[in-house]
Amino acid sequence: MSAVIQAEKLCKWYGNILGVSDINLEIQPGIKGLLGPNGAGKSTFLKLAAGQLKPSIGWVRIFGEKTFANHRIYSRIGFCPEHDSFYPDMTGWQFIFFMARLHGAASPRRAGEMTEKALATVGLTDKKDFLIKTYSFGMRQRLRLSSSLVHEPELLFLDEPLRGIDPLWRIKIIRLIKEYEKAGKTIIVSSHVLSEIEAMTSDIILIHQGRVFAQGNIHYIRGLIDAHPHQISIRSNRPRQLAEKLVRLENVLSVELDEATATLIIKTNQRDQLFDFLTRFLAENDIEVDEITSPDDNLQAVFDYLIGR
Amino acid sequence: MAIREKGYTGWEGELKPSSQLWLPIFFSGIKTIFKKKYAKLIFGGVTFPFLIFLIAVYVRTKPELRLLSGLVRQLATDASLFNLFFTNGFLIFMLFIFCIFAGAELIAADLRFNALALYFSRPLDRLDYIGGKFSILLFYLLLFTLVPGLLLVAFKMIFSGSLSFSPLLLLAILVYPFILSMFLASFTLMLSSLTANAKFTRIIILLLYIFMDALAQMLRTVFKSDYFNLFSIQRNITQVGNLLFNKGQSAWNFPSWLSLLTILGLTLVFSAVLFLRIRRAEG
Repeated sequence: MSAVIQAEKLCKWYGNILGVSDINLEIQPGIKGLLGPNGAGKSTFLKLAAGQLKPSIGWVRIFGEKTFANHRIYSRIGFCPEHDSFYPDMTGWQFIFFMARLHGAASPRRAGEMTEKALATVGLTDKKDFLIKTYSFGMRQRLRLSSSLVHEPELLFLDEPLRGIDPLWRIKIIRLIKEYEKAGKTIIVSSHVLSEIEAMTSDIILIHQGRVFAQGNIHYIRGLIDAHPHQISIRSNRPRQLAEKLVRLENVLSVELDEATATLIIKTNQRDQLFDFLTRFLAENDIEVDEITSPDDNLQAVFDYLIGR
Repeated sequence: MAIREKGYTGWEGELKPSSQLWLPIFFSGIKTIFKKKYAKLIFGGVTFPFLIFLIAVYVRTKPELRLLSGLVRQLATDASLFNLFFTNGFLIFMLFIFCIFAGAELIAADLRFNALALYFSRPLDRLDYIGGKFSILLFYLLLFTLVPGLLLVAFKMIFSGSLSFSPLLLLAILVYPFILSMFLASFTLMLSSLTANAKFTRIIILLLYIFMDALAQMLRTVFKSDYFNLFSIQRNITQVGNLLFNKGQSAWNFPSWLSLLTILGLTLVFSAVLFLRIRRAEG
């Protein structure tokens, strides 16, 4: 199967600041998740791939053609940026219609048909005549998605498409992306939330500090994450009694007591089992818990762990 | 409540690669400007000189009416009529006002709303984008200059009952509005591309319009040389009119072709800066 996207020695600097560095990869058709903490270089990579930015070094090709300033190829690409880029005094319909016309819709009637379908796809038909400035954040996000879908691209770049979307529409958009894949299209979705990507695809690219850190099946990274000792912070009224019990458990690697704040910092390699135990133990011994948090339960911590910091 | 699910439905139409992708920008811009509150006021203001000159053209054929006698005396020939119409201070001022209100935000708004990415992620290039923006301003500027000029020609023929008209003068009537409109459009769009703040652009246009004229006047008075009129936008525009309609005769003692060169040179410089600005913004 031929690669949809190919990048070689792809680098981008913003002055002295590194955007992405030495990216070499090939992306096959289907859904690909672009995963990385904030500031990792996901958006920069998407912009480079979509031809929005000029590479400082190296190249990126889509369907075998270089992308930057190759305007012909943009009719085959849909790009949904992370941030708003609208004219707030236009209505949703006017905006999508304008985008359809810019994509070369053969006639105003055709552009109108494309607009109606794209708006219906993201559930904005009933709000289509409202000014964009009156839209909520989630509606604007859906409008962005609609503007990238209106011309039915073969390749879709979605930069944090689920940010600010309500849970119901989150599910619908995930379903929409999967349907799009079934239609034989390629979708590159970026997110810093692992579970969002996991719901769409098992095929991921991990980006960190501007470099591709790992690429492949999500179960691999899941395994790494599960092997990573998790920290759990518990603030309770009887931290000593809790600590005494916890140190006896095999899946607890360490327990640290902060007397001043009555907080325990526990390290475990089996977080789910520990939570099961805690639920039972706290209830049986009538221990009051003010707060349970996982200080390292985020992608940044996982990346830090993976790169050995 | 049941949730009505709408999945993706494929559109089965076709997208035609077009060499006229500036047209959607043009049509969208025309509509947007027309809907603005200030538009009617500006349209009214621009129509005013046309109405006055229309009356003057009529009165010129009916001297017994003794209306607008001062103006009619200046319009002894067709050339002087059209020269005065195209270079009258009020019309030029209204064209600047139009550029200030409608033109200043054409690119500044795209910068402000981060909308350049919208254009350049579509199959249109820099030329399409700039062409689209230029065409919006050109449409209105020609509507305010070329169209009334041609209407005056038509009415002049109707009132005088004669179809005779100097072909050279007709050529001047066609060429002058294009030079003027290209200059004003490139000037406005270049300034609009410098900042995301349209208010700032408006102020700069107004200041340049007023300040350059005042500077020219001051330098002319101090150094007693009409060549300093080249600093003034209005006076250069007037001199170009004198060159095209009055064979270079003017109240100022400096060659009018210098003004034409200045206007054409500035148009090129403004356009080049505009292209560079957009290329930088593109990536």
